[in-house]
Amino acid sequence: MKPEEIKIKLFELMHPRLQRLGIQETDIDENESLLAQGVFDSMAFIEFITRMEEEFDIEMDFEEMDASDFTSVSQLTDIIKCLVRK
Amino acid sequence: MNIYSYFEKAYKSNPDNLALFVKDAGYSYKQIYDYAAQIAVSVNTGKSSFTGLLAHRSVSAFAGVLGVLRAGNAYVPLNPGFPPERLAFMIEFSEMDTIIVEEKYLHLLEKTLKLINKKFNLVFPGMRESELDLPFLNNHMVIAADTPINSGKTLHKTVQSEFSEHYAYMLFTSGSTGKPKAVAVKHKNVMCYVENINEMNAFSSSDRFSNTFDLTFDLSVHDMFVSWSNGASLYCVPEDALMAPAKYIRSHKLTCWFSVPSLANVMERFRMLKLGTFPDIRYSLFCGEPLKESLAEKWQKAAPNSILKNIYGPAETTIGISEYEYQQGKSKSANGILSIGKIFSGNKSKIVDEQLNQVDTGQTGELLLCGKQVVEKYWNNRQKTADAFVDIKGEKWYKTGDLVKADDEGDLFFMGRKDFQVKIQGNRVELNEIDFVISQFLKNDNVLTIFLQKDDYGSMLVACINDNPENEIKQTPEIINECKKKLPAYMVPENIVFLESFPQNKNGKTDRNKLTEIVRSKLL
Repeated sequence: MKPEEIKIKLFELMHPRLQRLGIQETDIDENESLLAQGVFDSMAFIEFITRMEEEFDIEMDFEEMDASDFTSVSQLTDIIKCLVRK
Repeated sequence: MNIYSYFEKAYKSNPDNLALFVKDAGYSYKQIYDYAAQIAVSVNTGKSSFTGLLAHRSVSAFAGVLGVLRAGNAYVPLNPGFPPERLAFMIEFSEMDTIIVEEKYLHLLEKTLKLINKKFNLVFPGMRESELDLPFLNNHMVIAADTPINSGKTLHKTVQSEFSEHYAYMLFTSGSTGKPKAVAVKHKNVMCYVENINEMNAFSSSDRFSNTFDLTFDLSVHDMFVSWSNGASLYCVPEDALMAPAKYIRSHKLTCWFSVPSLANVMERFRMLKLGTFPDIRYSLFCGEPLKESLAEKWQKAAPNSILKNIYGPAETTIGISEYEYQQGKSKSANGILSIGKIFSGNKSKIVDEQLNQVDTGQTGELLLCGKQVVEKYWNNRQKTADAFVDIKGEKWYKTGDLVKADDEGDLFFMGRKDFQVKIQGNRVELNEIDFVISQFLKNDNVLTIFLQKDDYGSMLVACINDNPENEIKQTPEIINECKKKLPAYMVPENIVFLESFPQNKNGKTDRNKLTEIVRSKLL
């Protein structure tokens, strides 16, 4: 999967939430934490990760990861890219 | 004795031990002691016995707690995750005149103080006067780290160490009529808890305690004072790491873990509870929500060398007031929820029916608590106090609202709630409080917030509005914004549903169960 395709899917997944919060897609900084940008709180983010795993049919392993490694759109895109290829 | 003296004692015996690890830095007992002493002097410039603490998961937050207590005052944690309106309410309600502020939250302070017409003593322990030349501070007394303080009058409170009757902290908990209720807890209440928990567990000065709880959650008092009363080290888990704490637990070799079960649940969901993955943990404590036996079993396998306990207790009865030790294959549970065990020494319980008559063993009723850990009232709230505290034969009992039953051996089991209170990540939420905020905003009394369990891992709050569904798309962001302005993030509904009509039961009241099913079919 191309990074651009992954990103489009990620935004699709986020769409209902963004709409509820009144946030525009274009306002999101892809290199900044989605939590810091107020898109998710930690519980909602965990749920988002769950849906992301289902959507891309991947399993993320957090055992050796710090949470700050996977909170921005670009970090998520990189992780998904690696996992999907496997 | 008071709870500050637990820290002081540990400092005197081992000043160089690690007291606190926060934001990648370690602080010895001596360093924290000195920092707290500096803060205590500034705190004493105020007259109120409550001091606000606008600091979060930082060295100034923890030294702030100790500094306030050392000054003989009670701390009121002001969670920077709360909206300014709620913080302003807490500040005004507690009648504090001094606030300790971490530099990060200057902007939030400005927004909050705009809502209050009062002059404060603002203490900035981590900043210099030259950094604080800001217009909004002009009306207040600013005390920076380098502000000289005339300490002559400050000693009158610090010299007396006998303040077990003084208040130690004040917390706010969700209130069903739209305003939070304040619970003020005395040193003697906390000391009873700390002594109980220390007696039942063999903690030591070489232990490394987790701190997962915000200061606005009273379980953080356990983290701090159980750790420090043992001369041990407290590790404040960074907010980010709370989503995936496995790496943090392992790399810092934490030995005493304490969290809400939902955090363990998330870890299980994301495959962090692998067999034997936390060999260093000696104690695994859970509190704040019902603990499923199945989750306890998985945690026990991940932390095989640990004693696992389920602790129970509302804020009104100070941190925790009963505990149950899990033993694989031999544990008691009801509906899959682990027992909450027996009430701590110095306290007693009663299970009663609606008329306050004791029910038979094995029957479910409301849990009433009385004793050294139980507070006497809600702060400045006669109505709520009268609703929740009752005199029985000259003793004051707290009505928990929790439905429990006891077995023949006196072990208690949590069976549910009497009212519409739910727990979200361990936080108490009165659904009526959310209804109230939205009703006021929409000028529509027909608002009902429901708690929807999605699956084993997730739940969500959904506010149902009895109004034309065509308004849903336009009004949803407005309603959510309003909730964000008035409520802590965990109380903001995830979804808003507009319905032409609410289902009713035979008595003409809204049928919550039916409504929940309608919403479930709409959203899930």
